[in-house]
Amino acid sequence: MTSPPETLLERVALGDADAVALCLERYAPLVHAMARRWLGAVSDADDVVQDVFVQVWNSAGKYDPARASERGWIAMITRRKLIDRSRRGRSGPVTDNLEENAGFEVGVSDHGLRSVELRDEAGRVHEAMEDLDAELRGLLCAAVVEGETHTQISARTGLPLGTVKSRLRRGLLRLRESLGVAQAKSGEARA
Amino acid sequence: MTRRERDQRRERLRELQADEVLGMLDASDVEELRALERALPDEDALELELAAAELAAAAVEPSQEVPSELLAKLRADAQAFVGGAASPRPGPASAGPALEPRRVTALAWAGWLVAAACLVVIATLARPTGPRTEREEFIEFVATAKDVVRLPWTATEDENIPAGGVRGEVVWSPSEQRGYMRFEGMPVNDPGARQYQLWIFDGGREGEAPVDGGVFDIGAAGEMLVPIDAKLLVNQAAAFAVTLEKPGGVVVSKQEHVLLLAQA
Repeated sequence: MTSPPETLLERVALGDADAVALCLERYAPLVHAMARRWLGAVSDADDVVQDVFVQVWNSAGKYDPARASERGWIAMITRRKLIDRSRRGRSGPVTDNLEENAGFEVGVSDHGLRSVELRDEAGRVHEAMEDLDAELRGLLCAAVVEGETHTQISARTGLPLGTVKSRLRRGLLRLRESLGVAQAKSGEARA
Repeated sequence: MTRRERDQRRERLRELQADEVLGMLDASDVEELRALERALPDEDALELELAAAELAAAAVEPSQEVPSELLAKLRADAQAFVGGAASPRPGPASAGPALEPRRVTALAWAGWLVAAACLVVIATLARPTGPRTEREEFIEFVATAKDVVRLPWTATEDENIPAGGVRGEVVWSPSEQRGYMRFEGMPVNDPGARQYQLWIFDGGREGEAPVDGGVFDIGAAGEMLVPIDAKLLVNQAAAFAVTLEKPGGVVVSKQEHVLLLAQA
């Protein structure tokens, strides 16, 4: 006997019309805002939002709630689409491997990032960002939120390209570490 | 392979994974990354990518209303999926009810959103310290101030408001007594002729004139970020207003040209 689907995306994967509508209602404003922030141009942003949700519908069956929150998973798909869109027309690093791993089919973590309130998630990121110094926060926001390339950041800040890259790398690694700690604390608090 | 060598490879793999997630992986490093991933299959990049995605999500304020044209397209795609056209696997609801048109509204987005800061800007900023510094300061401000209040501007019918309108918001921290104004579409002013001035209506000073929030200029079109320069302690910021005044500003505004309002 199979258990009924528990998460919204599991229901989406089964073609549950109400779940699909709820998913749009819950996440379209977020995806739209991320796309507008990154791309600016309305038409480009709209195209990306459409692409994101087509992928959400088609990949929902691969979503693993043990590895990511729904919000994080959808935000990750959004970022990938934005990066791909930004790279069109110019050569650059590829994301094929990341795309292949969209369904979390590799490895299984026991971090238990179950559904949590969206507000809690933003607060968790806030806490994690507080662990970084101001410069790292600024660099990460520029690269991750605004979609600036490391070359653009270097030109804007006057920092050598290699320095920008190494600091961005360090910032992201530390953010992941801090999020892991915050997540563990959150899990302990709920236990 | 010694343990030390393995640790070194793991560290290198993480660096390359971070580069990939950040979109700065050099083409020459791709092969090395793939080889390391094959050698260390337990070290996937998912957590790094999720960290970046969660930051990106936390740093924006979800759109209050998704454009209706886009929403129609999303519903059509969703309908096709529910109808089985795009379904990755047939499900019980493939013959289920049609998607009812719903107005997509922001849910409980009101919570604190990290560097909502990043909300802002890449634009030329109005202070002599230069746009880079201002932008970085703004990001730092929103990332650290825990009681940030965000109020959208409402344009008045003043003759100086352009046809396309003016959008933006006030971002204010009561505890830090500082904040920023963000503008989109605010007309460029000639500082020698007229300057903008911010006024803060303090709920704790009823009956008194609003607090002078500083004189400022808009030097370029596009999105602009201007720090608030409150001259007095603001007990309870109830509203903000932008007026157009003579160069240097005024002590008490005649309110001849009130362009923007933002109410708590």
